Amino acid sequence: MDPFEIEFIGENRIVSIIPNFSHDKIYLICGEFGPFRAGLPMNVPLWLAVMLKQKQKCRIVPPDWMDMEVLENIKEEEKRSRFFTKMPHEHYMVEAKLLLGAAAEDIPRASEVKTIIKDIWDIRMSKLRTSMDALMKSGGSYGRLDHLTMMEINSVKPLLPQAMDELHKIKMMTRTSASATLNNSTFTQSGSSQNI
Amino acid sequence: MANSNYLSISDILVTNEKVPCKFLLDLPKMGFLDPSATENDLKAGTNIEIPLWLAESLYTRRPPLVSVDLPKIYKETYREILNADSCTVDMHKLGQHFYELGCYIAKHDIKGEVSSTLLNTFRQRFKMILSASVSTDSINSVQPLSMSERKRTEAAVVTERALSSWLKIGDCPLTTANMVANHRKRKRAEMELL
Amino acid sequence: MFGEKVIELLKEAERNSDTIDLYNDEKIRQIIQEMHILFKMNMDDANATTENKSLWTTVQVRHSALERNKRCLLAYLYNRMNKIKTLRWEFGSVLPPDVRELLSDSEYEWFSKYSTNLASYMRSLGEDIGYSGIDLTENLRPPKSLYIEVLCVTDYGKLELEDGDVIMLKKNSRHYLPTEECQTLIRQGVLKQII
Repeated sequence: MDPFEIEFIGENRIVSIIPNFSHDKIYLICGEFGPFRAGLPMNVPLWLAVMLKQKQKCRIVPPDWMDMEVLENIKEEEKRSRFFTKMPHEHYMVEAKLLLGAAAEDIPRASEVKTIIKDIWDIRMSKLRTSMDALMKSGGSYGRLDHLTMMEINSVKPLLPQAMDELHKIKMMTRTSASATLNNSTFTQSGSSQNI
Repeated sequence: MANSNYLSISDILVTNEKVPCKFLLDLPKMGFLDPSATENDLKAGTNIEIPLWLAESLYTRRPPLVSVDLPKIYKETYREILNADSCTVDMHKLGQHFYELGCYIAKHDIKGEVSSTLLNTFRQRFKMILSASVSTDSINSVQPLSMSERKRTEAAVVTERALSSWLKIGDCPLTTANMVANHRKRKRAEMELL
Repeated sequence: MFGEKVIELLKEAERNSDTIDLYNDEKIRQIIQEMHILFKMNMDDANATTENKSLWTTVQVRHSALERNKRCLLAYLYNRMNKIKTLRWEFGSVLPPDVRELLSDSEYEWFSKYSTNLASYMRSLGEDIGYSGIDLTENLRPPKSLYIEVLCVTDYGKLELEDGDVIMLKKNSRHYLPTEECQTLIRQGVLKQII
């Protein structure tokens, strides 16, 4: 998957905005939103919020988790623990990128928030890499990684599954050699040697 | 497993590699298989190198016509080097299809040591590839890789680059289709040669 | 004789995995001729096996070679078939003439049939709700905005938009156009998006 596709999926999240115009309910494919009343907060999908903000028709309410204290806690937790901590929600990176990009003035201490989110991201990515390596060393058949977000999983996409496939293939092929020496027949179980 | 597919080109190229074999029966008129033979017929007991596909199919006939030996790179000396430190080995020179060929060969290895060497080598080099794919400058310092490793590394680098460019810019740029761009490039190169 | 020619063919195909090469008619004909010779030799030897039992092994070896040649030829054609499928998605339903001449006649026939199949499938989507179909070859990436700025890379000529306006696409001219109109041209390399 491309990062853009994951961003597309993440854009469907609901955030809250304060429009500065009034309008009736709108009926979109993903649901109905509205009516829009200037000055009253309401919920819309993230992509709609960004679009309205770019046209300067609303103000974005920062989500609960984009607060320095909350993020500092998460960062400490992440540094301390060997495993992955539960992130505020599945697409935190997408939301952070879009909101901080389009509406930085609506979010208090935006540049610090940006730095700390980036730090958390870096810590998680390096943890991911070490655990990938440990997974391969330990046998490469089963590993458990909780609380990973879609974007992080996507970053290991072709490498990890392909490597595990090859490892598994080597194991399968070589296992049949042990069993073949036990029986006298040399017909192997895996059909791959018969290339005819 | 897409690689051991009848129609997979990489599998065909792997099975084209030569392996040393010993013929167990006489083969009249097949003397041309042995470049150093003087007669037309091939006698039982001769040791020659034939491609893997031929060796495998002759091996599985009843009764088997050949017995397969391990090629040089899967024997004792090389196995020790690989078990010690496989990251410093030039895999491109040693064997482009090291892992895949090793899978086929391991079936003929009675002691079963080839398989453990394969697994160890794979694991050690995986770590090397992993760190290389993340930082763009160490990709050049990595020792030459086998074909499958190279493909995997390229894919990992592409993913990494896509991710970091997504983090930097916001927009989703539309690009020229892959085949179109390559086709144009080739045409331009051909025109320059003329 | 024993698969060398056919391997050359495959190595050629593998060297340019991103584009498609000229259909190597000549080599294929040679390989098929080799297979005929091998087959004939095997027939003669198989008939002679009743007198000379040891010829049986020779027959085995030649048979393996025949099967190897067959496998390699099939892999070559299959590989090309997949590339031609990608051609439809990347170049569109009309191939430029220089790509057209890389395919053999039967391959081009396959391409047209695949194109027709794809078109009738796309048309059938949403038929029950009254849509006349969706073009699946568009919007392969999530679109970000309604209008984009593009730079024209080659002299394309006139482009007619949906609302009737006609734009002249000259080399190095910039335009601000709706995304849907540009998508095909960007994929074909005529326009380039400016960020």
